[in-house]
Amino acid sequence: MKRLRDAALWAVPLAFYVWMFWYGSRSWFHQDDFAWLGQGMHIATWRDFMEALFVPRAQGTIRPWSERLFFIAFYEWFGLDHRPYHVWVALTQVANLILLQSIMLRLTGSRLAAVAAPVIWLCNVGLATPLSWLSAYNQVLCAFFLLCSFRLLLAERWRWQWVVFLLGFGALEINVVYPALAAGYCLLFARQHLRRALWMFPASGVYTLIHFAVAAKPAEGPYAQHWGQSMVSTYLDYGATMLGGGLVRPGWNLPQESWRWVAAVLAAALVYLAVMAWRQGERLPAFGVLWFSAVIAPVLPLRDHIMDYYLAIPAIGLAMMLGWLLTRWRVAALVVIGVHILFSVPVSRMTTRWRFERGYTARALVEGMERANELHPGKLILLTGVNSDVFWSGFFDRPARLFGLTQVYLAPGSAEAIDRHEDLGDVSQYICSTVTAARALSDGKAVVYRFDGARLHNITRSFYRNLPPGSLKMRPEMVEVGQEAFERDLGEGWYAPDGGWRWMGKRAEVMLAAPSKAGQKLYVKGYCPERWLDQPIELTVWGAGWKLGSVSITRASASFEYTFDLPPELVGLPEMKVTLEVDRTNRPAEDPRELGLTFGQLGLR
Amino acid sequence: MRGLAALVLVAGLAGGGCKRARHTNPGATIEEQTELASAISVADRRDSSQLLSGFHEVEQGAWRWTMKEFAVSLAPPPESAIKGARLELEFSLPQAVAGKLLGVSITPSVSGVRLKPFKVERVGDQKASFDVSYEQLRGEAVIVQFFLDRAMAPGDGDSRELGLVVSRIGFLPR
Repeated sequence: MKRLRDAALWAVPLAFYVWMFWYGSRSWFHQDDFAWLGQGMHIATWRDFMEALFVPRAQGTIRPWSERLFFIAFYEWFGLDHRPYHVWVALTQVANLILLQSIMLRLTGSRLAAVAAPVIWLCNVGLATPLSWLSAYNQVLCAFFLLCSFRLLLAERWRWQWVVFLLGFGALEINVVYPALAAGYCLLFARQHLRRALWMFPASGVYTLIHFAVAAKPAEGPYAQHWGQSMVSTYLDYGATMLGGGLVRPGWNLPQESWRWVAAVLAAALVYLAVMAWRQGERLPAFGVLWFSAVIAPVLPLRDHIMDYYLAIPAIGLAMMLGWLLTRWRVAALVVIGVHILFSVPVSRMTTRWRFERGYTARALVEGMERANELHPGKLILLTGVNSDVFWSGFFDRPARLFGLTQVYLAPGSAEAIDRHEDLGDVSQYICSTVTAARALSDGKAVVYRFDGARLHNITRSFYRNLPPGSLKMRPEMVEVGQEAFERDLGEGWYAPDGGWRWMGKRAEVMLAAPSKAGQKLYVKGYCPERWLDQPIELTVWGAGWKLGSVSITRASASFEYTFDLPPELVGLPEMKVTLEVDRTNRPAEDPRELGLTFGQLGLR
Repeated sequence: MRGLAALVLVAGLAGGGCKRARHTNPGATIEEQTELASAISVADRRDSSQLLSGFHEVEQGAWRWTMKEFAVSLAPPPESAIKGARLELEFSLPQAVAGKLLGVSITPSVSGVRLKPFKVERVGDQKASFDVSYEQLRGEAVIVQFFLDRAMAPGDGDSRELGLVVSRIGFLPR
């Protein structure tokens, strides 16, 4: 009977997990997921594989287990079936819940505290995103490595603790805080082991040096680091969000900021109780505060990138503290936990439901594009009805390339519906120009679909009929020089296209739309093999007869992108002839042509 | 811990054997109905399904030679079932065939009812316009036929029977 009761107690957090994340555990891929899913497309050799695992990406992150191997392996095995991915995330989280329960049982000896801590952790808003969005799996996996290392410390399995700690660096950078957690525990509970904990700091130090060597250090934008007083307010913001939920559930008719008042009251109560406990010789509440503070510390410099999911692991500290309080001051603990849950759970459920719905919409769009590509192979696919949320969650990361579709764009006129996020990328690259759409439709090489949130509707015919008169006669703002569709915009001096690029001779011409407003620039993207650049090649560019500038192509700029100012006199012209000229050409032995530079794109920006 | 490690290993191995082919979702798109246009460009390949008979291949991406009789299907324009409509035929009579075809008469038939003929009295680009009664414009689509009273017979410098050089046919609201 006792064994049955114990088993039931172990199962309580798991059942609560299923209830809390019923929607989140079924959400389809969205946002960054598509970027991670596409990692395997460029892997052909072991070397590619190792590079895919360990070369720094995004903001210089190296997370081979949680973002690289996880997505590469699961995409290879299961493709776009999201269920196995979520099963894996759930297995990891179940392990986390069991570890936390085991840790609390060890620290407090109380079954009640051991069951309560994982349940309280699950209620926190910090877990809503990691358990509902696959790209945030790094938080779940990092929690696993930290909890597992810590459990091994409690069991005094020193070697295994080291192994798990070191492996944890492959999940998330936050793993660097583990020595602080271990040392904090030893200081509070087991000073005889403090020296062992201190030995782990050098490992974290080395990792930190490597990380700072490869990480991007943007001076502005959301990932800019702000070391200073702002870290205190960021710390307090995270603490308040963890306690009060970060917002008030719509429909509660409470003041918008009332969650902050709740958080302040809860924080005051917890500080008071922690001080009382300390005076009585109880150290676990202090360890909970230490856990929260240490784990949130690495993200405090990111003042402009406050994310709820950064609380996923720090919230374990709060769960430990509240779990322990239940064993000592039950009434006070129940009040604090009750108020915390009252504000946190609705927000968590709302977040996980929102993720589910976002995934549902992204799935409808992606499967629609896949089906359209199957029905109209090789055609340009244009989409209308894609709003800002759908764009950023199901289009921006180019999910269509997963099934080989690269020619998919938003239809002309879609830009107004999309909110700009300059730090994420340039929306204009995703929108087809009117002239390109008109030409492709006229040639029968494009189809147009309207997205209604659940399906794509083919509206090719009506869209074509409603294009502005004269669309076919217009010049494009951007010419993909190597694409056949733009051949009619090329003047003299070009050779046949070559894999999306096109070589010029000594001089070449392109016809473009003239700038529509002052301040627009001419953008050119090209390339020259380094072996031809022992001496620089001088490229000179003219627009409608005006010399726009000259640049030197050297070994350092063999793959180049340049912009040139356009004189205001060109604004309003019907079209503009751009002339490119190089000061010397090359004639390779294997190619009889006289080659200047090769170009991919040329147009207005 | 050992149990957990075993569970992870088993899940990993099981996953390795689950590689599956992906099928697209047939319900993910709703394809365009074969909606008829009320006016068509005969050279536009999207309108080619509305050319029923009597047209040769597209030439210079802009027009087609017709035969002596040719037919298209068109959708009646909005409110035409109440007000009627105007049928327009945009065509050209090239100088090269003017000797034989100048003065040719074009007689359209809408839903089986013949309209008043149009006589071609000059060479070059022109437009023939016909009034169509609302009685002939009921339903989703109507068949419009054109009858020429003469044409260039095959073998007279061209193996095809040649009527007019047509670029566009359509209804306009009245």
